[in-house]
Amino acid sequence: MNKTNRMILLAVGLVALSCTLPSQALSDDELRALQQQSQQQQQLIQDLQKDRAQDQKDLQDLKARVGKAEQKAEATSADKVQPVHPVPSETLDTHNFTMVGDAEAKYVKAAGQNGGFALADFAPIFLFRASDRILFEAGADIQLQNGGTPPVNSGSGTSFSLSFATLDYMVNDYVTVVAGYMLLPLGTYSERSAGWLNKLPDDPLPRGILPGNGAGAQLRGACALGESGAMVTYAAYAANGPSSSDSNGLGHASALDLGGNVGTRSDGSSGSLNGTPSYGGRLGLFVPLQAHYDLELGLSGQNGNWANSGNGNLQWSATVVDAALHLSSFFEVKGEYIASRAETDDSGTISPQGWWVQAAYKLAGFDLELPVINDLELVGRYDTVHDGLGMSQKRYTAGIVYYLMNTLQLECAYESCSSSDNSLPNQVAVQLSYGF
Amino acid sequence: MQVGAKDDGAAPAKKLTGEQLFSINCSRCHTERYPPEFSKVQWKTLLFHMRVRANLPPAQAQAVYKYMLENK
Repeated sequence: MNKTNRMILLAVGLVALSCTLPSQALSDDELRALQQQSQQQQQLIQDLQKDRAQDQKDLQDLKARVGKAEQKAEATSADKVQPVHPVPSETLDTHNFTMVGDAEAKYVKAAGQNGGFALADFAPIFLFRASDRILFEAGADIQLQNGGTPPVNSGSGTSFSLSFATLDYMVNDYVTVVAGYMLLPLGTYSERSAGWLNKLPDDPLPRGILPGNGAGAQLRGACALGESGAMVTYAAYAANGPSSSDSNGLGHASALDLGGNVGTRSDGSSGSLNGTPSYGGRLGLFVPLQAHYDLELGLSGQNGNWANSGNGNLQWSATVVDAALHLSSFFEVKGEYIASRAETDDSGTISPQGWWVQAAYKLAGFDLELPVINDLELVGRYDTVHDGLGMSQKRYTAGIVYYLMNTLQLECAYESCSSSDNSLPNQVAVQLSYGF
Repeated sequence: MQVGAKDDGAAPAKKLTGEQLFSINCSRCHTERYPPEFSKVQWKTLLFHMRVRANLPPAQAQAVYKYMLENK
């Protein structure tokens, strides 16, 4: 008899027993029958208890066999697949790809020229963080140009230039290795004033006598000075450096190529065009007095060969002094002094140099509580450059920035220019700049 | 909070909070980015990028990151 049937029989027996209400004294036969039923039900209960105990034992045995089977399956799987690193049990927050960058559209009207609209720049920055120590980052400039197809000035073309592409590896809290095509830490403009970060449509004139980027490797970092937010920042690098655009590698002044020499030649061979790397670096000091009141000073430079002439290697070097001052969250002034020196085989040693200073004031500082006024910022800049060969330029820029959002700004600027070769006309520029 | 308080026997200058470090460092070069603009994982990537680009000491970068997460 199975367990279910035993349960039913017991239930019926209990019901029958409970329904038996003697209306009169039981006879001996009836009493014997009741005693017999009670004994049978007690036997049934004992049998059920034995069955339950056996079931519990069987269940334990089954669990043990299942556990062994699972372990055996895992071991078999592990024998076949050997992970290089242990498989993490929780969701990773590494291997993250993020894209940021900026885009500018502008209208320019220069004296003596037709005005025109332009997609000034689309500059995406790709960031891939592989771990807490490794970051790959790359930035590009994509621009439209006239004259993509012959004849001249017909159609349009798109230029794509890589502005930087580096692998950053944090060795420890104080040193990060940066290698690849780097933004060079000569001054701070290249690293901190691109695109939407620049409150005016044009770069300062003297930045043209410096290389903005170069192929090489760098060690950089910072060290806090106390708990006040002050810090010393440092960067040291080796890069291929400038080279000569002359087909024979000669050191004519006009052949100085600051932006090339990135390691792969036009004939496919590798190596620097001048044979030895240039070395450079920047040392900076940042001192905050309180939030939005701070001073930063920096000294940077680079030195190395740029061409070979019959008289030996020709040297190129540059020194930059940079400074930035914030007085409240409304006012800032910053600038750079740039001096370079290049040995040439036709013009002797030339010394291109220049400087720029820019000041800006947010009208919200007047606390007028007017919505449009509070979103305006006045900007002024003076920049000048001398190329070391007799050509000089200087420019006064007056501009106003309207912040439609925190990273969307409308910049309007008037530039009053003068140059020794009349190559720099006055112009008005309106630019919509968006950082994303 | 006073930064660089005089050494006259009073308590030393307090450690800057993440909000203060955010104000000091993150608005030097550009207008402020708001914490909800990016996810937690994206902020980690962006702070890595900014720590290298702006040469931030590790403790400051971590404090700014923590501030961004607390204000998402």
